[in-house]
Amino acid sequence: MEIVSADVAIVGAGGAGLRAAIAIAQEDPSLKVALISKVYPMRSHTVAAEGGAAGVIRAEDSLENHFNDTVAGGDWLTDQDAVELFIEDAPRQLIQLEHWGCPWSRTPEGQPNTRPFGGMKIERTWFAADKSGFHILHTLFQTSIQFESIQRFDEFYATDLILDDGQCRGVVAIEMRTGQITLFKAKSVVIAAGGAGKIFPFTTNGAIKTGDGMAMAYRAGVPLKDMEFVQYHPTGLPGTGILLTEGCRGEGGILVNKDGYRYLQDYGLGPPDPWPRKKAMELGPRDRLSQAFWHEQQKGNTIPTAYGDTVLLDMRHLGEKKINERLPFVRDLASSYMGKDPVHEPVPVRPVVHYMMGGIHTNIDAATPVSGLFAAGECACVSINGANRLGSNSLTELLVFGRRAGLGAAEVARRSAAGNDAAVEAKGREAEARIVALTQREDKGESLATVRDAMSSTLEEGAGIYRTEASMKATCDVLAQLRQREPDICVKDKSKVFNTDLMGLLELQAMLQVAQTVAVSALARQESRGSHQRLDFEKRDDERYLKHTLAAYRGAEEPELSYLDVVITKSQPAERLYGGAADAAAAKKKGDDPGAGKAA
Amino acid sequence: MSRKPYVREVPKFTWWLKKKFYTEYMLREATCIAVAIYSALLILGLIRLSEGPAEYTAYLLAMRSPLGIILQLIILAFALYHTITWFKLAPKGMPPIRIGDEKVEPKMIVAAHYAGWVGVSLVILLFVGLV
Amino acid sequence: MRQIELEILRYDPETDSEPHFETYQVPCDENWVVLDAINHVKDHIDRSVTYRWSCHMAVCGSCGMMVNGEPMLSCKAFIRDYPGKIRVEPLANFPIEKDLVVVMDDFMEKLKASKPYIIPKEPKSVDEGAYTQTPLQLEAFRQYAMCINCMLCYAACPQYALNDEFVGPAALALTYRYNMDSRDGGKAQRAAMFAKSEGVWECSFVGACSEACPKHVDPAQAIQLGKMDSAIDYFKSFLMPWSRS
Repeated sequence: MEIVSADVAIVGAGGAGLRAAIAIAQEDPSLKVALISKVYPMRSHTVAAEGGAAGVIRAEDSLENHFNDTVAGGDWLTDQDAVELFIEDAPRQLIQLEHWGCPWSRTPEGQPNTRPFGGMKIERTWFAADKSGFHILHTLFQTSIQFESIQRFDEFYATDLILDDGQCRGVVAIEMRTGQITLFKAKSVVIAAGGAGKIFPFTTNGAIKTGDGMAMAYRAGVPLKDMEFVQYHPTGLPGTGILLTEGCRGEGGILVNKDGYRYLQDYGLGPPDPWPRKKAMELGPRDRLSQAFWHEQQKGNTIPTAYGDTVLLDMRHLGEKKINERLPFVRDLASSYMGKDPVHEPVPVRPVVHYMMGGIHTNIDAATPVSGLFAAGECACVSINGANRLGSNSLTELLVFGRRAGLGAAEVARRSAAGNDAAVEAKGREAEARIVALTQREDKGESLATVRDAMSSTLEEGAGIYRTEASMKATCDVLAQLRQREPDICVKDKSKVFNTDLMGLLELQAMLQVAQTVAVSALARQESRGSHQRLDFEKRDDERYLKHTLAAYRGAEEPELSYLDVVITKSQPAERLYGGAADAAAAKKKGDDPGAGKAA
Repeated sequence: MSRKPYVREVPKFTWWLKKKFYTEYMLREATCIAVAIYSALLILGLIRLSEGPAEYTAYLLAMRSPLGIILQLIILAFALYHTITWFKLAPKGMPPIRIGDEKVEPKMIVAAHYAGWVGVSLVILLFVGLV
Repeated sequence: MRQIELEILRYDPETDSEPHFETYQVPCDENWVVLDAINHVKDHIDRSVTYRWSCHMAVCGSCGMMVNGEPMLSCKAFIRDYPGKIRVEPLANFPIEKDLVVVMDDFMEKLKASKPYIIPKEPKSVDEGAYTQTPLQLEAFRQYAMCINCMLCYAACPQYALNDEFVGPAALALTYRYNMDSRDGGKAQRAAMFAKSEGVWECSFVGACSEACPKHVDPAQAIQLGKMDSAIDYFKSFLMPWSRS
């Protein structure tokens, strides 16, 4: 076992991990940061985000608008103190990125431009054409290169957190190129290892999104919060699950069913005209749009394809010039992978698993209940996303809470006394022994791919867009069985160098643990809220469930659930209204003209 | 240490035969020799001209001989190849040109090169009285 | 459904003295990409096949490899475009770590050395707001900021193949990207890497990098413009010695 000493260890070098590392390097260059990632930073999945990052910058917008959109968008499961902090810091963080070179698209006057996203009242999504995540990630990565105190450990797969005396003291990781197990001794640790979309079969997420960070924290005793809330993005390409950004609709694209009808007007999001306008129709929130698809599918209004039922995303009316300027990547993706050029043809799309609202339980300082352990980004649940994340809040969340996690970890590292080295190293060796044991499992003929595919398909059946008691119970049972079968999977690749077979098995273990928290948390929540929709409990139930679910690890058993009150500062739960219904309610409230919510 | 990265050797002298793209590049570079030879021939012509009518006539006869014509045809082919391939690369070799808001398409830049070529050729042909 | 013959270059540093091809029969969906076929092999035929991949949408840059001799993102190399058998090898011009995984150290070092970050011309605090940058100023560098670091251009470049001291297309294009950014004032600091003989001047303008680039960065153009820029700076330093900062 190799030993590396650092002040702060960061697991994950995507948007949140890099932002944390830079925050520490700027705050105190004497702190040694070990930035550990299972892939090179520019491969992290932040890269795939397209549409943009939300932050109030327009004169006609306000922090209050951003707050209200986010809280209502999250169906009041958001912690409002966290949201307040988030929206206030958001513009600063986006400007900071601008200073670091992010090529934001500009207004003719040369200021960062904004576009509308779903569920937002005023356009507040900063964008870099339709490659915003790519540019954010590369800007952060390239900026991080200049800080000598950040030492990167690229392609180190982190497996375990080391806790001693209730304090997080380090991380164990496998150096992929040598197979060497490495103990990173650190005074504080930040987990920024991304989400777990790969527990589902049909997802926009990359292969690396296997919930490793979530599972690591979970096993170390940190509960996973609100895991039942899984976001389906309404517009993914059938077959591949490739994302077509909400920006397509932000720029004016429409969704139609097999009859060419804009079906969203039948689901509380109309009337369809005038179009485009904010917080209505195609610019409703993602949960509502994905649910509307499901209903259309039940009614037989969708278009069957070899890769499942679809509706059509029509952007033809935007014209070639606008599509080339604002949505060039979408054009490329739809043309290459679907053979449909959006300039000339509507593109078939279907809802696709995109984002985990839930994650490692943290407070508004990105600190977990374990002393010295922080988490930020998709792997964490602060919670600003509640039961349904608003599009373009997650990229900003990486920045705001990535930075806070870094600063928090730096603070702990500065005041932390040296730990018990011998105990930490002993625990590192225990982790090493577990990994070595995995490689020595005997071949019982169980297939990794079979177990993985069984996991993802049962999750889709039980924890999809609409859920029932029976389907979720069945899924919980299947997942429990799969966890029992998992020890029968051996590692076939016997070499030490770049053993992706071993990594695949470790990832599967993490995914099974995370999948179980999703299914078990979902089964227990007997209401419908945001992305968690139950056919047997169709209403939101604030009496019983205006609460965060906390799922705690119990070894081979299913997780133990407990609940935590939602933090409410100024917005009491109300009905979520979009489109004409929202306009009417606003008019009634103000006794005002009903044109208030209409298009600018 | 279990690592043992394997380095694939690149053939030092024949690498450009491995891919058509590389071979074309080498041809593009090599054909500049033809251009140089023809320039030398033209300079030789000037020298012959300065030496007197007899020398110049001999030079012209040599250029008009079957061997001279074959040589010039080969040179012409090479020069054409050289020119065309360089024209193809021209958009990469110059700063982007804008007209108003629009960036001029690379193919327009290539077309402008051809137009220039035709224009210059016409002027020369006019000058020597062939058109 | 189509059965393809997929040849993968295999190399296990612990047991092999040199790489060799192994052939797999893969039943492919008509819309598959080469990466899907490799994933099928990994899942169902041979779990030890080793390669990098993640996004499956041509933006993370992990899955670059040689497909029938050409550097490609395997997630954007469609099976339908290869009527015969398909042969995949690790990216050319890089050492092979194992199977299709190459050693990236050289590229990562060059990237770092090219200082690919804003060195502000006029430092500004966040409170002062964003820099003004017109759409035209953005256009001056935007194309060169599209590099996903997939390294296909290095695999395509014969100059890099012959001399690995060459900084290479992607790193030079990124340097040029920052030099051209209206917010940046770091050109002089980057010159040591950029304008040296192993920098832009090592490029003989083969143009293969731009052919290979899946993101239309056109590194060859960035390098030629960089040559022009560095030549102008060189002459300026003679004619106007006072202009040197």
